[in-house]
Amino acid sequence: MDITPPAEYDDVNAAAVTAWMDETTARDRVRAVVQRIDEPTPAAEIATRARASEPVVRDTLTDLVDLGIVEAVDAGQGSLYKRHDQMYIYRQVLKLQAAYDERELLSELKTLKTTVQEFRDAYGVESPTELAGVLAPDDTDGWDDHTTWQTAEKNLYLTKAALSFHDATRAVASL
Amino acid sequence: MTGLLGDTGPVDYDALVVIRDIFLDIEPLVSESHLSGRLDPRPELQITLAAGFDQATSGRFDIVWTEANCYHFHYLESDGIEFRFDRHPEPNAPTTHFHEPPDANSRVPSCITVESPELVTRAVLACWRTALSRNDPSKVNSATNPP
Repeated sequence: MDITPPAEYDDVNAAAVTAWMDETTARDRVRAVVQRIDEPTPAAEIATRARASEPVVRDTLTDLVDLGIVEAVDAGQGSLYKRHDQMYIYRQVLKLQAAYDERELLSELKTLKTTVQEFRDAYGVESPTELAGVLAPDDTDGWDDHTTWQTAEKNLYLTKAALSFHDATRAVASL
Repeated sequence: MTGLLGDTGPVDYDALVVIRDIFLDIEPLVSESHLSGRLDPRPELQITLAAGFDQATSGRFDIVWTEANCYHFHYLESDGIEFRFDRHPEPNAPTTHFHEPPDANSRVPSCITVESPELVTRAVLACWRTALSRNDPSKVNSATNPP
């Protein structure tokens, strides 16, 4: 089979940036970047990562703050920005509710609790943080379990939140 | 099995969705994609491609991305070559490294230096397609695509 090569490039990283910029708007890129930022970060740094001009970035960040998606943190010399954690969790809950009905969420919750308990028993530690303290740097299976444990724990809390949301939605609807 | 050493944070499911959508949007050779359920504690994205190196007629990427921006893009062909673009703490290699074909056992510095899922996915695809068009897996970890 003949495969067409991509257009010539000197640096695949620069080519990836150019392609991203061709296929998206500056606002799309700011939104994509800031949704992964969980530490307060200057607008100039967000502009660098989003490959967007600072005025566009400031404008977009202001809109995202108004929407509650981004949080502005006052840092004396001007604002720093991060994703709004509560809104992030709320959006995760909505995605879970779209993918699973209430009965499925209950069943997943049970499975996640079992998964987490199995890791506690297997390693004799209470948390992924404790597990990280006892693993050798080259323990492939151990670190694989560490990633899985962290993922299961996050999913467990989000599943509980999604179930509480179902309850609250029902309560509000019956008022 | 993520195969990712070190404190990677939880798997970032939304990043896997972003990566899948980029493959589907920009790579016409994608023949199939499979993404685990959102609550799977070992979520993985599998992308099947309708072309391979030498006699192979297909290949597959198994992809994991975590909240600390650790990742692997693991390419494999049935009874064929294997290679991996990785970013995670690794005692015997730089954090961003490449497991060379044919068996993905060695570790060398990766040609990919960009860090976000949007950029790493596009870079991996370009590396793979450049090597495939020359039918030369040894070109996968090459930053350039000369005329």
